[in-house]
Amino acid sequence: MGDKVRKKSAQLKKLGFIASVVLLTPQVMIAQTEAEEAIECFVEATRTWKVTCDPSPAVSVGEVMLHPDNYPSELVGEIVRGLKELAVSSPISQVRIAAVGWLALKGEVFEAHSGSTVKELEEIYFSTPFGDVRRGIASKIRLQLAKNDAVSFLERAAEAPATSDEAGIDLPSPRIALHSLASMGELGRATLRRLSIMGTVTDPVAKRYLKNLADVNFRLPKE
Amino acid sequence: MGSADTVSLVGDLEVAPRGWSWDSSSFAYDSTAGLDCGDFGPVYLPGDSLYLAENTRTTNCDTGLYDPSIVSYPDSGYSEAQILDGGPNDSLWYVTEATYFMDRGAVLNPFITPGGYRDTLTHNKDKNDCLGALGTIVVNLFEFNWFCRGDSLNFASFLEGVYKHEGYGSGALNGHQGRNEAAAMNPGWDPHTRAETMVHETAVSLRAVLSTQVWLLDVAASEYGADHNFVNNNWCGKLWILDPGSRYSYSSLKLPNGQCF
Repeated sequence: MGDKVRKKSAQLKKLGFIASVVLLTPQVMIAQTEAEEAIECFVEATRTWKVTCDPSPAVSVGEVMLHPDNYPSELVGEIVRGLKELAVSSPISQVRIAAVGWLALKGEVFEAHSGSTVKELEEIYFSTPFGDVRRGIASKIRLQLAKNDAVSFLERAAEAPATSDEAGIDLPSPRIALHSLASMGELGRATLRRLSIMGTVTDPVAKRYLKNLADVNFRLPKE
Repeated sequence: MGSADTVSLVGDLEVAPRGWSWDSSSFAYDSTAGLDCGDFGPVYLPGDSLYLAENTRTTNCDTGLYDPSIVSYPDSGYSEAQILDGGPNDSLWYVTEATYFMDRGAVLNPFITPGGYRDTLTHNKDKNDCLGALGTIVVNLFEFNWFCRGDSLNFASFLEGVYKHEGYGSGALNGHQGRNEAAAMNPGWDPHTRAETMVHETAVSLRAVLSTQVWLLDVAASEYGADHNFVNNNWCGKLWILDPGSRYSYSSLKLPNGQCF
């Protein structure tokens, strides 16, 4: 794995140099290379549940997401871009979900990053073809500090159809979005009331769930 | 060296594993303790998605398996402490105890229970059968199958199949709870193992990373436990189900993937 990472990194440096003639600054080039190495290591570690990169990259995905203000914005941007790409295109479910989990972290800890993190998660939600990623986002978005942004996103998520790979899934992503709204207090309940009146939820499982929630005034069991 | 250099040592710091894992009290399952989380509706024909039962948490309706639920209680499930001994690790935070568990139950769709919603029959044969058996034409799904059509053995085996599907299956790891517990026991998906080695500079970062990691494990285990490509074949057969405005029809019940449930 270490050889593979270094080889890829060398290729990227070469490509980065060519591109830099046109538009990339040296800082961006370095950030791209470091981010690429970190993402490669992240994929391998997530896939195998072990840290297998040797030597481990100086920058880890988790470290950057946990301390985004300690790193150059170019590097943070490149890591975010890499995680978003994994969430919409990795063939491995646990890699996709882990990408979402780590990306969400900075919005759960830092107020300054919370609004932009919701936006990034929303972009993934509406561009990934994978239902597991959407179910994960619809569930975890509740932990974002930017509650208003999260509720607005969940409203849009509840209205959107489930992905095609969710056919027959017991709890498809629009249904989970509704549940998250119901878990977010009066702010979420107000949105659920609006969705119920407007009738804009189309997924059949979610539609039935919204009707059942309306019957109990949008309050969850044991709340 | 001709002059003094400053050297930074960089490495991953972690607590040596302490053998943490689930224990005999970690898993609880009660086939009557699941929560009605709002997913159930009437069981009529034609039905694109008829929910018969669910395997849920017993304390709330969050997705996921592990308790306390990570999305509702991200600060729970562990205790932390700060090292204050003046030594090389002074001020770092670590996990002193991990107390994750799994408390789940099954819940039947009320519509299929003996107390389920009663419809007024309109079809002559349906009416005659129920008048003869029960003296009424206002019956529910249970009563129609059990009494009007005298299919009690079939209905009992159907209910047994439903409970097996939500619970421990019929012997081949083909019940939701059986797979839930098997997933949790996978060493790679055990939150205790993940928690025991963790060290961070602050309690906030410890919480953030641990809750993210446990969430990832929980999602992986949940997808494993919910997979109907494996949770199936606990019952194969037919029930009498009402097409409102028409009549009861003897209908096969299958999972959306076409397999018996």
